[in-house]
Parts: sequence; C-alpha cells; structure tokens
Amino acid sequence: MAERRWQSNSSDYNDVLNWGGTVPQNGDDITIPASATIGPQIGLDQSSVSPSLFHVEEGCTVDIGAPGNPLIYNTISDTEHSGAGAFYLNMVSGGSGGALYCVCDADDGLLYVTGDPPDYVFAVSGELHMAATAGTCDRLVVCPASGKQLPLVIVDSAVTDAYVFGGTVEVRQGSIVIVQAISGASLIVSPAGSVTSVYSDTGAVLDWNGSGPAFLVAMGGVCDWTGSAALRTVTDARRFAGATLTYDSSLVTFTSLMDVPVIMGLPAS
Amino acid sequence: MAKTTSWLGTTSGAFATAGNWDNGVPVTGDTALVSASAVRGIDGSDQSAVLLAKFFVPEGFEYDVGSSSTPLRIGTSLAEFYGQGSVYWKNEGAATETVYVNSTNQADALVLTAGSAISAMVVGRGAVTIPASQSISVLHITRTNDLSLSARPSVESLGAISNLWMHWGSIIQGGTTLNAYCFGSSKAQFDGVVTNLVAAGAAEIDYRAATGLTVAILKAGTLLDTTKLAISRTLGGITVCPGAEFRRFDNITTCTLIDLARRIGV
Repeated sequence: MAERRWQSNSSDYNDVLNWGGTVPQNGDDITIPASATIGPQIGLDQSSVSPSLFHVEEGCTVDIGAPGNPLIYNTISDTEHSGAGAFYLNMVSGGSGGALYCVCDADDGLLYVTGDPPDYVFAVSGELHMAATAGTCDRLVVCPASGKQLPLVIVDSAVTDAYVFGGTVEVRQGSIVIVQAISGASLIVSPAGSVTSVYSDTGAVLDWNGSGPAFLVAMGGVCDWTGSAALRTVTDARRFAGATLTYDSSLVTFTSLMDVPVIMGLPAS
Repeated sequence: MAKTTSWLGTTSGAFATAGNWDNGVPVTGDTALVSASAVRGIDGSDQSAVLLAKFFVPEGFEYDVGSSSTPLRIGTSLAEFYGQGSVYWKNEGAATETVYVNSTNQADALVLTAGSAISAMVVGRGAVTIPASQSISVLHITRTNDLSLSARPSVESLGAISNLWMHWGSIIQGGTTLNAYCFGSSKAQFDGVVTNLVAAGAAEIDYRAATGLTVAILKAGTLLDTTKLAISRTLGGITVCPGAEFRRFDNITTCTLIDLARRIGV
C-alpha cells in the first residue's frame, strides 16, 4: 500500500509521471490534490485495480472523467469527493463493502456514479448522481453540514435504506425500498421512480409524482400528490398531528388510511 | 345483530348488569360506549369471552374502568380511551386491536395487565403503563393540538415493541424494541435493547442497554447518550451526522462508529 498523489503532468492516468513514478496499485491511497491543474481523462479503465482510498481534496477544481468516460475501478474501500469539479466514477464491484462520501464544495461539484454502487453512500454537500445500474446501495445517508452547500442527490439506482436529513433527493428512474427518515428535506419521486415506504418528520416535503407509496408514516411535513394527474393507490398510510397530506381524492386512493387527528377528534392540520 | 350500548352505571359498577347499560350488556361484536355523564365507573371483572367491535371511553368521563387490583378483562377490535380517570385493562382475544389514548390523566390514564398482543397503540396525551409480557406491534407517541408540557404523553413499558414511532412525549422502555423512530421533540430512555434506531428532529435518546443498536443513525440536533450508566457496552453501527451528538465512555464502549463530521473534516 502506498500513497499516490496526482501530479498533473498530463491527462493520462497511465502516465507514471502523474503519480511520482508508479501508477496506483491495489490497496493504494490516491489523492487528487487541491493544487491539481489537469484531471485524469485518458486511460481511465482501471477495472482490475482496487484502491483503498480515492480522495479528491477540497479546493480541487479539475474534472475527473467525463460523461460516458468514467474512471473505472474494481472497487474502492473509501471514496471522498470534496472538490469543486465533476467526478465520473464507475465501480465494477462497488457493493463489496465500500463507502462513498460526497462533500463537493461548490455549486459545480458533481459526483456521478455508475456501475455497481458502494454499500454505503453519504451525501453531505454538492450534487451526487447515483446512476449505477448494477447492484444495490444498502444505505444512503443525506445529511448537510453547516457552512456547506445543501446536497442534491439524484437516484437512478437501487437503494435499500435512505435517511434524508436535508437538501433534496430526487428519485428519477431508481428505487428506494425504505426512506427510513426524511426530516427537514425534500423528496421528489418522479413518475418512473419508486419509493416503497416512507417515514416523514417535521419539515419534510414529499413531492409524489410516482406510484404509491405502499406504506407511509407521516409524523410531520407535507406529502403532496398533486403534481401528477396519474391514478395512484397508497396501500397503507398513517397520518399524525403535524403532518399534511395533499391530494385529489379522485386520483389518489388510500386503501387503508389511519388519520389519527380525525380519529381523536382534533382540528385538521 | 350487533348493537351499540352505552354505560350509564345507574345501579352499580358491575359490567354484566343490564341496568347499567342503556341497551343491554354488550356481547361479542357490539360497540360499548361509556357515557360521559355516567354516574360511576366500571368495576374490574373477567369478560374475556367478549370481543367487542369498539370500546369507547369519552373525554369528560371522570371515573375509572377496572382497578389496580382487578382489571377489566375484555377483548375489542378498537379501543379509544379519552376519559380523565384510569383504565385498568387486560386485552383478551385476537391480536387485531388498535388502541387510542388521549387523556389529561398524567399519572395512570391506561394501565395494562399483560394480555393478548396489541397491533397498534397511539398515545396522544396521558400516561400509559405497559407490563412485561405485553407485546405491541406499533406504539406511536404522537402529539395533539395541546402542546403544553403538561400534556406530553408518557409511556413506561417493560413489554416488547416491534415498532416505536414517536415525535413528541417520552418513553421509558425496559423491554426490547426492534425499530425505534424517534423524531420531533421526543425523549426516550431505553433500558432494553433496541435493534434499529433513527433519531431526527431534536430527539434525545438515553440508551442504557449493554448491547444492541445494530443500526443507529443520528440526525443533526439529536443526542444519543450512553453515559447515564457506566457499564461496558458492545453496540453495533452508529452513524453520527454533523451536528448530532453521541456521548459515550470511550474506554468501555465498543461500536462501529461513523462520525461524519470528523470523517470528512467539517
């Protein structure tokens, strides 16, 4: 294991001068420094290599890869993008225990993930686009940090559990089995997106344009189905005081709605 | 044919006395309503052969149902306890019950004796006691339109809870909890093992079990405190988002910790 620091000699990943003499090997720690003046754009198929760490430093503005030309590894134990550039990443075996941290530090920061997503994904700031088509991300945690740009996460992948504590998550063509908590954040479910179960807390805004959900526990926030004119069915929903459900009853059917404030005779919220 | 009958308590506190009801003693399938103007409460007794459709105790009813020594043993598909007195109840029959509690009684609004499993219990106001060997599939501690501190619901439990959803009020849970969603301004003391925990809002979690927390995720503004008991702990995986706090004794607490603020340097 060695530390390999990108030297910005050229855009060729396989240029040894970019790495101080040795191209990164399995188990290496790779850093794209804040001082980088050019990013890797050529020779990006490193699919037989599994670095231990890939870190794009805060202040780094170069792009790594491009749409249709991602940097490909077998897997990475830890990936952290703290830069302001775009980073296109593909992992062949990402779901083998790896973690990914998206901490982009400016509006232009983007982490675009294809291939097999890591097991654990943490989005703190910047834009994360999960476009992986193989495998499943076990856990997505979206949590902003003070002084950082609110995170935007676009989900075109399969996610098992999501915890959304700030920013926006847009489920376009992907799926989330359970949003275990959404609090002070926005969740947009597109017609082609799928979220099976949701637990909402204060400040949550659910813009529901897809089917379902099958199970909704609304303890706070607003769940709004009015953005789509499609017929939808919500199988099991529980609304508690402080939560609001907004829908056209001719379009949205609740198979089983436990409306607690109504049952308890409380004023409608 | 199922009927609806109202408790008046005209002659005595005996459940099985027809003169205490305006439409006869309730039997299986009936709806039993307690009149807010009833003149006395309902004595505890064994009515375990009866499975009501609904048992309703209204706001304004100031007497007790059952007693601390003798609960009312009866089954019901739906129970709503909104009175100011106490309800001492043993749930009998099939486990399909939903129970609502919304009472200004902050001492003993509902005191359960261990009985059949309860599918769902919603506590808005009032104090609820759940004994060991009482299982509850979903316990929700919610808020009503009364947000005064004196109206905070509280639950003391030794029972097993599959899913705890709370965004207001407090719980002291001595039994096991499979999934705990502690949102809003909820406060929870867990003496028993919690398997999965999500804390959001301004939730405060006092965790005293020696094991558990296979997955625990803490949002900014929440607190997970394991320092109230100085015992060795082996916990699972705890993720602390920036702005959340996890208090622990480093020398005796073992867990897989993801401290995001420290990990990413924010």
